[in-house]
Amino acid sequence: MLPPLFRIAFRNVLRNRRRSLITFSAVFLALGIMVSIRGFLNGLQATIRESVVLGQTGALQVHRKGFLKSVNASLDQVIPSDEAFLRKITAVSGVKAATARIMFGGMANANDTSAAAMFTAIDPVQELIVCPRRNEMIYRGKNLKESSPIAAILSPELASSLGIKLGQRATILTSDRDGVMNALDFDFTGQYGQPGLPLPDKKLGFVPLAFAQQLLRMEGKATEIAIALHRFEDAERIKPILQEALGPEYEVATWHDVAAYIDDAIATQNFILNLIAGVFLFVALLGIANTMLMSVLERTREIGTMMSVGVRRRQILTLFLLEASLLGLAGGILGALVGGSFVLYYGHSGMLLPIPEMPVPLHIFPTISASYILFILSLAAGGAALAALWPSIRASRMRPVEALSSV
Amino acid sequence: MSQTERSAALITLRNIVKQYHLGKTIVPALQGVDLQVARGEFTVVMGPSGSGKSTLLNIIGCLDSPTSGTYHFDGQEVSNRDFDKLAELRNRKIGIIFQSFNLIPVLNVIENVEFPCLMRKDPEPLGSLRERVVKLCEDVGLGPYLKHRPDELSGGQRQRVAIARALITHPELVLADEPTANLDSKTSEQIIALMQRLNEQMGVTFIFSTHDPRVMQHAKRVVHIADGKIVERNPLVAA
Repeated sequence: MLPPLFRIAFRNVLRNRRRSLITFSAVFLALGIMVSIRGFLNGLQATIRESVVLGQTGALQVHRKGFLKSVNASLDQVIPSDEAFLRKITAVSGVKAATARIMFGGMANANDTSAAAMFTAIDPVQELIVCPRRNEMIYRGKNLKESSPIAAILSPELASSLGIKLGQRATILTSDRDGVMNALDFDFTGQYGQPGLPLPDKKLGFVPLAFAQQLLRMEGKATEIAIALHRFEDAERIKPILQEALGPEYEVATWHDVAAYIDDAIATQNFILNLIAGVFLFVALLGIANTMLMSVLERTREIGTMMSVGVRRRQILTLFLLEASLLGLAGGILGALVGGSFVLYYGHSGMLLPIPEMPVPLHIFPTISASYILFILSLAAGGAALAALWPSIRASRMRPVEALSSV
Repeated sequence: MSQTERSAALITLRNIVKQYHLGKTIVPALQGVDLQVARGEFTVVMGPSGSGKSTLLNIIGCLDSPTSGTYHFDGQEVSNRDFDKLAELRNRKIGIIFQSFNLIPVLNVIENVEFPCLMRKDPEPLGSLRERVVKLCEDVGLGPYLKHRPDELSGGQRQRVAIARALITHPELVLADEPTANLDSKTSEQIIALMQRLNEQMGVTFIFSTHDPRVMQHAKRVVHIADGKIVERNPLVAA
């Protein structure tokens, strides 16, 4: 059997059904929207994170010490790209694969037109193991693995500024580590677009590692090793282990370190969500405060009656706080159920989110954690109690004789 | 006060003054009331509207505190006690019956009657409490209505619930503020007779307030009050 105060609170919530229903609906809507938006954002952020880690940075990266801090990543700061060095990396527990890269700048030339561009040289086979999402970013043409050794993938901006179409030939002109100019022809075989993320530099190109090593006269060398882990969440844990294994002349960075703008973007999204959720919840809780105040005013005589039979102030306070919490919790549970169902449904089927100026729409799988649901339910119940605190204190502070003489 | 006096007088009011402030005006509701009520008495406080009957009963019932004067209940000074101690006193020793019944609308008859006992810090086991509640309800004629909510009962039945609620805690004193004012004359007679019977059977002290002269014939003692003062004590009026 329910404790007497809980029983009375429960029945009082049902007593003025229309008013309770309005308050309940406000809480229900607020929590439904909060859970849905949180689930959607979780999916969006996971997609962005995966897009970065599995399509761009890898979970960890190795550079020559000082490379990341240098203003212009220099070709002087090279690291080995041979099998022995890569094996040293993959021998660390938790590492799945490693691939070498060279980042360099140069001029692309075609049809008597030149454009300055940033190029990334990648191992066409290993790169797809470390960053499998690279493949999804080819939205027209072929990837480097399926192309000739002198193929290149270009961003739409670079291709259009050169005025070339897929299959056409162009030239890269750049200087090697000694400052000696060199040029090589390449075939434009694929067009690159990154889903969900603005490209840091719009004129970009990808070429095979061997092609770049020949162009830059850097055989057996690279500027970066990108690393895939079995679980990319282990990046922070494995980073010092790998650093220890490689020694002080190298620096190991996590994807957080090299793509800090992602964390900033996620933090901004979370801030905006919390702000919106806060406004929704605040409005709902105002409704609860109003409901409880009306209830106290209507039930003044009843409060006097309770006091006359010896109910203590704290029990009166508890009763009204319980009623508010019940309202908040009931609305919250239904809101969480409906919002949770939305998240579950789209978490299973996925939702496509077209992004303006992005060639590939984002495929988002919303998720929500049980701890968030519990947190938000406690917030609804606790917030409701807090909103009802003043009316409840007012009820408990009444003088019995005045409460009894209320009409 | 000796032990003998204490056991004889359940209530001792000395020079009780109660004033209300209405803006800048001071309204004297009680002007130096002295009153002793012995255990087991069946006392009626009579007087016209505005004479101070309800104020007197509110002070005796610890629902209000006097502006000055002393109030001893069962030999203990209570006029300076804090809210929770007075609540404890009301819960354990005083039962109050109101003119407009004052039942809790969301509780049924049984739940209304057992409510004061469940609000105690050390409530008795629900099983034995329920047994007592049902027995008491049957005793006051509520047997067929145990699961009814107040809005499903007549005025007389509601007042019986209020009487049962007042008696379930085994109080030493039951106060009834114009308990028959909202009832027809036949039901009023029945309610007064019921209270009289309970007074005789259980030995509980009853204090009524009323301005209905018909009620007087049941009282063992009548206290007349006018303009906030006791003008006549008549302990010899036969029941």
